[in-house]
Amino acid sequence: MNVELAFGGGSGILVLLLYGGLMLAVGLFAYLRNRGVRESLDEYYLGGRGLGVMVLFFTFFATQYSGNTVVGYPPTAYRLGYQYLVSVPFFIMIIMVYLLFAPRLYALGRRFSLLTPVDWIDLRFRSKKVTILAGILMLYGLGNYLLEQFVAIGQGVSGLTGGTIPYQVGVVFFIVIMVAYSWLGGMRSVAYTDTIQGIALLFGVFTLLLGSLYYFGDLSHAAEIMAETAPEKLGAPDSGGVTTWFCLLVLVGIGAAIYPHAFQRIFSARSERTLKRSFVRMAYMPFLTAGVVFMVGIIGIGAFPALSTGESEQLVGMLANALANQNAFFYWAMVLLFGGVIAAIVSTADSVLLTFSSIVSHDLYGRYVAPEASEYRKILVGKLVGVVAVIILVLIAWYPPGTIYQIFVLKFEVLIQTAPALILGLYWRRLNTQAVFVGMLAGTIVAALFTFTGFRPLGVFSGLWGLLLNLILCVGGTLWQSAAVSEQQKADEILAWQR
Amino acid sequence: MKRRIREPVKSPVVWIGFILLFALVTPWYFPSGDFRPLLWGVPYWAVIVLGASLALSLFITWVVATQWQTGADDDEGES
Repeated sequence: MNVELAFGGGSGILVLLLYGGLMLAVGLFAYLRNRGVRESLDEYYLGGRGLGVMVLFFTFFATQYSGNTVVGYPPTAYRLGYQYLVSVPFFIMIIMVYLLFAPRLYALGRRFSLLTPVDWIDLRFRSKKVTILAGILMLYGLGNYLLEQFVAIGQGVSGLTGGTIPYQVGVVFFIVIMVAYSWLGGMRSVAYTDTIQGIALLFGVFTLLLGSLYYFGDLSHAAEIMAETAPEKLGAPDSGGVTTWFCLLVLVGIGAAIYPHAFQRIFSARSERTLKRSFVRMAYMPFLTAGVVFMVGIIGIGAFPALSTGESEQLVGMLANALANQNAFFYWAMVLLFGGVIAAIVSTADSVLLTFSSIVSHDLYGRYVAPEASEYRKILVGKLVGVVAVIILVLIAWYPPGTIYQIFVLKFEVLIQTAPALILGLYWRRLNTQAVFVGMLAGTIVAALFTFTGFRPLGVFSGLWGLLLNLILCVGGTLWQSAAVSEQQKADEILAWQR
Repeated sequence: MKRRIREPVKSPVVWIGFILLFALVTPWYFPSGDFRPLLWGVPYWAVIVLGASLALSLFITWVVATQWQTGADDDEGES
């Protein structure tokens, strides 16, 4: 099986250079249109709270769909068959979860000029230790998330160019470009590039689907092969499969909605109407994105039956190579697809980096180190700390430190521990600050320990065990002893947001 | 001055709808391993789950349109 280098090489380099140039141009455009962007935290980190429907929609799109959706989901669909159809409803779940907290959060964000998720926690609880713990958990989770994206950029670039551009050069090239356009235009740059990157990705996956349907046969063909060789891929899931399906719906729904960069985007909407319209569009995107890549995986079963697990990981590459060999149109469409995949990873990474810097600027430096500093200075500190973090992460990506590598795996497990403070705080005035702190800390420790030791009672994910303990302590502690009357009055003042 | 506020989280209809649709997009109610008839090569149960997923998206659209009204932008003089 020869799947290497049917395309790529020179064309791959050309497309990557074009993408890089375009992203820089967008950053420059955003900067020239808003010269004051670096003077104001609101301007730099939230695009002046003025993102319109289309751009806001694509920034949400970029936080939810990354390059992994295109490269990683079809192989999973290939191996699990229709049991992986769960990837369509789990993306819809994210919007459902948003609707349970975003309306109130947006209103509070407007009223109190909230900038980051930590900002909300500080306003609600007025507790230094809760604010700092939440800030550290978010920075830690975001840092590891960023690390994962960097590794994916390097592998993607190296793959697309058939190894012509080594892994390290790919990582450095795109990180320099990403930091440059983020610095130039802040959130506006990130949002505009998210839009371009999203369109490139959508174009790529649809071409891949159409080409696969045309050259490798439709779903009926794949179904015939599955019925003969692997009927379990067609069949309705058994009880174990249903449990996994259920867990995925809950995990992805809650987890992706409270990712700090996803949470922060709610504040950058121009108006409530804009936010609503973006959410409605997002509710249908799973069919056009997850649904399409799912179909590609199923068609792959008909095209290349009986691949091993390792081989199936290369499924998208195999399909793209085979299509690229057909004619010039598909050749370039596939080059664009892989460029789009890398662009999608960059667009996820830039959002994460911006949120990371905003927490440093506003919540740690601006709140505790130098509250009197100018906004320009706070932004500068956020940017510089962001770059230092990026440099450290790149070094880690190159030289993974063997035994302690696991500490870089924790992301979601840690981030989700901030959910009770973020969401219960919106609705429960009696919520006890001490209980929130203890729950968050204990949940994090349990999630980390379970992850490090590989301990998974009942097969349930470590992050969920941490969250369960977190919730028990948070809710139980509050029921046992409500917040002090003075604290409840303060909460009332904040939560009386409708006035 | 009291405005009319609506939040999805406070509406029983929204909760009932979400719970029902959540139950429908989870394929617990099909016999394990069953896949015929196939519709355009897709197992019938997958078609039903996709239909329920679309119903969830449509329900979300309805919730956003009718159950979410906070007047958060009124202070800014926006419509």
